[in-house]
Amino acid sequence: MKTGLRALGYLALTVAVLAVAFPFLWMLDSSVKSQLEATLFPPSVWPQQWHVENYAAAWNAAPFGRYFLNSGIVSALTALILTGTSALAGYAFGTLRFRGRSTVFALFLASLFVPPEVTLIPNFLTINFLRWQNTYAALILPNAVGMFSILLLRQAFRGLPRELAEAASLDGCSRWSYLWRIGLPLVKPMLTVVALLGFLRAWNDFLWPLVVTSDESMRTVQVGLSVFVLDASVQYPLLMAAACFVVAPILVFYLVAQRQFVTSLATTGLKG
Amino acid sequence: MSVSSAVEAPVRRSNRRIALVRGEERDAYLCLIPALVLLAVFQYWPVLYDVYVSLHQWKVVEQGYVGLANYQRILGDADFGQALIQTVYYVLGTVPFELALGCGIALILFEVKHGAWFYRLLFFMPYVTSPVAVAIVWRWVLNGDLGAANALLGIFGIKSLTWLDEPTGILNPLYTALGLKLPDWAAGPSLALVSVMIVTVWFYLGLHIVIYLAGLTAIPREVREAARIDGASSIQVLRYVIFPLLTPTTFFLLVVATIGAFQSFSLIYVLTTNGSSDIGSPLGTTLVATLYVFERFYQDLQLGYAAALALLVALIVLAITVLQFAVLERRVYYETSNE
Repeated sequence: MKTGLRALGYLALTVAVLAVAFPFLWMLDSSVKSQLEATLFPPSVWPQQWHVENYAAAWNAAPFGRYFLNSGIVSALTALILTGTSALAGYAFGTLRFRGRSTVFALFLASLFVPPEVTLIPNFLTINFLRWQNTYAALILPNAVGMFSILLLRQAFRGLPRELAEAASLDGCSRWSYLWRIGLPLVKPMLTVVALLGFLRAWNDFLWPLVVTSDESMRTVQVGLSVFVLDASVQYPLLMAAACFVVAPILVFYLVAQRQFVTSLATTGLKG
Repeated sequence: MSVSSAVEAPVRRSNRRIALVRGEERDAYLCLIPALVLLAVFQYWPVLYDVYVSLHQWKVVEQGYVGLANYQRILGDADFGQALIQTVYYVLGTVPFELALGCGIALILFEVKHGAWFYRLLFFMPYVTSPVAVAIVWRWVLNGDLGAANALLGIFGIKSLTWLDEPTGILNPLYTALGLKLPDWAAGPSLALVSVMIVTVWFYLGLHIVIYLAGLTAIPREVREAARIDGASSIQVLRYVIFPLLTPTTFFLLVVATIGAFQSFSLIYVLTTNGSSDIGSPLGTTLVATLYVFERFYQDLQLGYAAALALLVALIVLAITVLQFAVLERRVYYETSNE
């Protein structure tokens, strides 16, 4: 009875996991089929011939090199600046003592309740006002601050013993060098989580880059990919190949840093 | 804070004096400035500015104050009403399924001793990939002529469906079979919108599983064992111990997933847009509120009207969240708040 139930559990899980993984497998499978083979119905399960050159064709069908460069720059800088602003604010809230701390903290917390649909149009106008359309600044800065990241780092800094900062101060170490040489190295695991999250968000972000870029040379991979799919003439094997290389960097990241991804995304909740 | 220092312990007082002398306060505010500036410009100011925008006429640039005209226009906008109905379908067709499947799979996964990490890895995968890329893959899987989904149905002898291209309501065949003639609104969501719901559940399932697993891990082992020793069956343990102790997790996920479903954009947009302008196809049956706002904003450049709509949608979401707290929160079992 017990083993029977267990076997049933594994069976249910396997069916569910196959259903979840299927689109990814199908994406890989279809990406190497010829255009002719992709028009077979019912489709062939295993590609009859492998057309790996689909990847090169997809890459060259749109300026994907430029899109990757843009997304790489935007995601890396977003991650870097987000980690910086969050570490500084987390240090202030977690370690330092100052008048008005709880009031300022409440003000920061209020940002969690600002609905993203309301900020879209005003932020678009702000970017227009600053004449920042089609710039990296427009793509990066609105995502370079995040209350969840600040909360994570505040917790990390609060976890450090208070005596550490006091001892450092008695030894003549300034607050800045304490932060740089002692505090930040000790909260490094959390810095990694925040940076990963920032990178992931920026890489996958779609609506904001769509709205603030009109110039093809400033598009990110997601916007580029969406334009590619909306162009009805592109064949499905090429679309699948393009989808493959757009998700590949993130999936590699995910497989390497699984634990950090799962825990950090789960703690920051549903967004995007 | 300043006058009460007389009653504070001398040690703390000297600490504070040292701190203030060495500019701890100044440093703290210096640390907060970068984050605060960005929050002010891109989070706080936009809320006020959205209200301002919604009270004016816009055509790329401001065209003058129009009072509440944009809000009055919403009242007579049947298309927006339709978009709201479709949004409600979408929320009701995704959130309960995400919760039920997430909870069920987490319960099984919690009992599994071998390979649980591997299953979790795969379940969570959609959530880390980009909505745009997976939407493209799903468009191919659900393709009406050549899609893998139809091939799968074919194996079971079911005839092909048109999925994302099907504007008729899913209840329509039922009415036809019964020989009833009912108005369009009673036909339910279109098959296209149902397809979008399936993809959405697929996308968010992993997150629900992971959070339910965290909730299950937090239940003390002794509690289950005590119930077992008292003679409760597996079903009874589930019904009277596990589910009640999971209510905080369920409530959290319900609130967050409802908000998320109302705000969902990228996945729906890429699944349902054809060409560069046909958003929410077919026949606008997948045009949910966020897409409708986007259409007014980005295609029509009616910024004032779109700003008013965005604010209204946000208020609706807020009202629903408040309602969820008012109606459901007292049924949530918080262990610590009991004593």
